[in-house]
Amino acid sequence: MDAEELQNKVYALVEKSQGKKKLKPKDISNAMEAEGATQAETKAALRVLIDGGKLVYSYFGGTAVEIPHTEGSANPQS
Amino acid sequence: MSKDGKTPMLDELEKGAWPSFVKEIKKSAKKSNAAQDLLNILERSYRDKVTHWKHGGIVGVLGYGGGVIGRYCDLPEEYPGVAHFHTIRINQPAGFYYTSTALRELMDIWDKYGSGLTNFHGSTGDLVLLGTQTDKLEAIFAETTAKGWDLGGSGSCLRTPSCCAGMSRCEFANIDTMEICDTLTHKFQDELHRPAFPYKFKIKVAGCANDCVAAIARADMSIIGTWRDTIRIDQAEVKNYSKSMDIKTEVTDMCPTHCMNWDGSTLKIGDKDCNRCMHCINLMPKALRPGKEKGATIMLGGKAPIVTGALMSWVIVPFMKLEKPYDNLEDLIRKLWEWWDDHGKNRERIGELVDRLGMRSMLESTGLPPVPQMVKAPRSNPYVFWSAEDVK
Ligand code: SF4
Ligand code: SF4
Repeated sequence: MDAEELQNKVYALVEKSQGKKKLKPKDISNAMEAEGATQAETKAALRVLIDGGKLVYSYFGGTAVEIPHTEGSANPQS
Repeated sequence: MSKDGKTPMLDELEKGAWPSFVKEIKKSAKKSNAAQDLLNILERSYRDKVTHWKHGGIVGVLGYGGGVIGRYCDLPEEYPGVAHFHTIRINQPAGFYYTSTALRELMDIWDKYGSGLTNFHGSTGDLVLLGTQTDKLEAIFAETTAKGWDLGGSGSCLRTPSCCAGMSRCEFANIDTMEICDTLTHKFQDELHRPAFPYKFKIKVAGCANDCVAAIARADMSIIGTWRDTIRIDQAEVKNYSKSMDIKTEVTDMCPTHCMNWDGSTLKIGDKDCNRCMHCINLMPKALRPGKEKGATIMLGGKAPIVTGALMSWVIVPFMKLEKPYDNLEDLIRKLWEWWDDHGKNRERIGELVDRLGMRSMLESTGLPPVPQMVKAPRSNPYVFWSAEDVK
């Protein structure tokens, strides 16, 4: 699997889980391992997606990866 | 807050001889709406007996998974100054040394974009900036990094390593705490900024067993400076001390391993039984000094009570030589992370994982040899068991 294909798969996985299950980075790398990518390759793919702003980290007790969105809890700024 | 904007309950906390956070926030409130509304909502919380904060979420800066902690109040119309009140963690310098110029620059940025309130320092060690809004985060990040600062850790990642002042000003330091802390911070940038662990991991470095950074109570990995050979004794200085203190009562009887003897003219130490606790050296620093063969004891598993109860860290390597570039330490840390990553549940600290799986699993994956110093609670839980393969 080339790097771009892996990034697309990671993004698709996060998109599918959005609003249903908060995926931890480890959940993502485990899922991609089952598809043939190493943990290091998935880490690199995540880095590209995060640095490009397509995915963001979130924190609710533990860290998860999500697609950027306006949080339900966010207040409008004064 | 009462209708007239008064804060009678908070005002009680200004009384007394000790420092008062209320007094300090009131000073900031003269020029900051956020600080004023912080007082108001806190008074309201005291009255309602409930917190009005919502915590967590996705706020942060591009590319970083940590360093910003999202916080909103649940009454934004009534307290608009704290509708957003995000916290920013700044990676503190090793040993907590600042120049006044660096602090002024940082505070200028903070006055421009935030509440002006700070916390020097958080329990992990970070310099904490308290209270800003989502649309200010990238500007704060850009301006602080331009001045050489970086964000600290938050979330399921390596938290900002911290250390005592060590050799920069303390004669007791057995290791160069500041250099070790700085080196680890640079080696583990990815682990600090891109959370990928089951939960948080804290590293603290203390130059001796006095542990001025509370590593043993607070850090998942405590690196404690120590020595392997014998305590250096200046008998003439011991005699001088005997003129002003009762060495038997204050020093030798208080030795936790009872390995010292003072007969009124000569002090003897059974170094084989000494556990390097620093007690005798603290009391007679002119007469006693740590040995010459210096290194560190590596301990694992300390944490404050969050998901489960508090743990003190315990020994996994009794003595490790620590010299630049500290590859042996890095190697051990990476092996521990790998084991924790493979077996840890979500929000399980590494010390809790050792408790759940036992020491053997950790020892097998790190290659550390089992040694008696690892026994945490003699008799009740001998940590090292035979494996099926060992018993033929
Ligand atoms: S921990 Fe030891 S070396 Fe570090 S500052 Fe305290 S007494 Fe000095
Ligand atoms: S360092 Fe502690 S254990 Fe060692 S001799 Fe001194 S008091 Fe005893």
